[in-house]
Amino acid sequence: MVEFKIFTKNEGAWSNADELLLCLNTGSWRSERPVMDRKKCNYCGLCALFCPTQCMTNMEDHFLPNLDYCKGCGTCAKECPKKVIRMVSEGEFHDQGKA
Amino acid sequence: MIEVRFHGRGGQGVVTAAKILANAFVRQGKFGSSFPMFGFERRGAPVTAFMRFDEDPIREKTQIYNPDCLVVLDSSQKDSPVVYEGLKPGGVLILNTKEPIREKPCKDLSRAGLVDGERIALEEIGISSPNTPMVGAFAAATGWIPIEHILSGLEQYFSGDILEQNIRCAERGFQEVEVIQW
Amino acid sequence: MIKARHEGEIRTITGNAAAAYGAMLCRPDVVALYPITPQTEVVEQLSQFSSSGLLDAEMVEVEGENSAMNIVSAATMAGGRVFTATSSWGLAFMYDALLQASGLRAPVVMVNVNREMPGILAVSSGQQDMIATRDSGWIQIIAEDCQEILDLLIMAYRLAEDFEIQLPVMVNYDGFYLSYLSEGVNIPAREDVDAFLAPLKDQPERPKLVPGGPLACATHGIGEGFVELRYKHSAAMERAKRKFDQIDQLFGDFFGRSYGGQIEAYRMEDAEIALVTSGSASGTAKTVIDSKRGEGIKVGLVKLRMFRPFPRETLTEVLGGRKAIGVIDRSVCFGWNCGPIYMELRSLSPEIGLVPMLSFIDGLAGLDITRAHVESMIEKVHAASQGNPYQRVTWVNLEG
Repeated sequence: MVEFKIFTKNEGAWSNADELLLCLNTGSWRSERPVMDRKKCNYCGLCALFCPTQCMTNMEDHFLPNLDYCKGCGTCAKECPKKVIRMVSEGEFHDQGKA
Repeated sequence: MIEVRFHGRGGQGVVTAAKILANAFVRQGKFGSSFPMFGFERRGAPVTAFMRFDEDPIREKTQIYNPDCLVVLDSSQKDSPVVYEGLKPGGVLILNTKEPIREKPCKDLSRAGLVDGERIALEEIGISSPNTPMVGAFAAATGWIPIEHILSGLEQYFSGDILEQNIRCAERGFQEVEVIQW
Repeated sequence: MIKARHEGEIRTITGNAAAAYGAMLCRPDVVALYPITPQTEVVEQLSQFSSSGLLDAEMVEVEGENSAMNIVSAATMAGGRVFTATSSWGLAFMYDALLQASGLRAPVVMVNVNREMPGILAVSSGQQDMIATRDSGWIQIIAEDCQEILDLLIMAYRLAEDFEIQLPVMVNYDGFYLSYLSEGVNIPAREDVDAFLAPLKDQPERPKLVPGGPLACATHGIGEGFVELRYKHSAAMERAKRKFDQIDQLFGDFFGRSYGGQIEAYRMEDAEIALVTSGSASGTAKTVIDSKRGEGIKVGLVKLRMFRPFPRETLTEVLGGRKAIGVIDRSVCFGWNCGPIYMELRSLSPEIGLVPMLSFIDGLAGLDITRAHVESMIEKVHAASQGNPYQRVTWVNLEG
């Protein structure tokens, strides 16, 4: 008996970003993480827009990366117009990769 | 035939470690084979490698589901159930770790070889790839391969100063490994 | 020339490196280079051979695989020996040039590292790329392990450039499971490979393109002229079967390693049921067959080494009289809902006998063909051979 476990609904390879995004814990792949200076942030949202994994959490007046998914690519730090974000080596932290 | 499974992350030298050991058995006149399995080809992503050695030609080309020995290069994976899946009772663990372990991480283990591979590599080469210290530790903790065959085979993977540094790494892994028998 | 002069050097190398060694030892004049996972190491190793002086060839870094095939085809028409390597998407990209090469009767030798084709993007092993090009008119042969990859490349040049054949040869091997597999491989000495290929020089000379010369090739085909060329092509493919057997025999006499030619028959002498496999899974299957034999099941293995041309005579001979047959396909035959090799084997039913034939689709998308899978397949084929109802097609990765 053939059983479908992955594509139970559609015929082709469709996936719904609202449902399936942030499904693989890629946070453990990271070797450096983004650190935000909240005082400088003007809540423009560019970091959230550019984040390839879309893991920026909206905190009402600033954004924070969801460390379960952040792969440490540094795109947010590069794109931030106010230079709010620094990339810091994971070795500096002792929280097992969680904030 | 003995089956060894390697666990680590991209960038730690998992694939090379498996090749170095397969090569050592071939140099000894036995048969050795190894291959990696990885999903995403990038640093930090999980990598598994499989190595088999035997007196007779190795025909299986499958992944390893019931390893006799585990070589874990990423200390953060030491308690991961995925690492120990299928381990044969009486299995051996070779672990890269800064801290000692006293409790068996898995009931099927009978022996472990612990070495701070990252520190050795940083001291000898300046990068934290723990793979060559780990292959030295493997030789000492298992007794399955004389260290000479590993050391003489390293020239296939490294050259110049890097070769000398990696030879020292393997020797130090061989000497500094702490073997625990349960 | 009866035996190689040297023992050969044993090195632990990957399947990709073995392919590079095989090509290098045969001294190609032109190599077209383009990377694609899981083949990239082949072209990297060849570049290294070139820079170290071991390979004296025109190394052409192309901008795409389509150019790669066009360049090497043209080089052979000018009398050169060539090499290139690709996989899946690259093979698809060079499709028109691939067809041209065989139509031109260009003795191109290339390596195709088996990977799943476009349609569903996958960076993983699977034989769909070989299947998708089975009607390209190329000779297609398949390796089981790293030693065979190297040896097949040497045999491929001997086959492609044979005056009676003059056809391009594609050497296939599984991506990931063979391309990245490190094993001890005996690398023959240069002068022995030269000696093995030397008889090619004693042949009548093929026409070739010479700048300013009067000969041209591959102009428009019209009417009966077109049909004659197609016929000759088809006849050459037929001749390639016996020729491959002969070359394998000569290789065995010379280097001490023989593989059986078009197929390898493993424990088939008294087999009641048979498994048909190709590629790396064959090695795994042999170990399971040994253990099932220990349980009293009279099972044997037929490893398909030559896929094009399809060894219908040899397969008919070895499979005739068996009570049931199982075929492992690492690909899908669209429109027939079964495996492609299975489907081709079914066409031999009248000659083999109308016995249960079971198709097993397994090992797609880099998924493993495990010992447990093969055990289950043998049990199903065995049950069918006893007259029990059976399932014609099993999608092992979805059904277990």
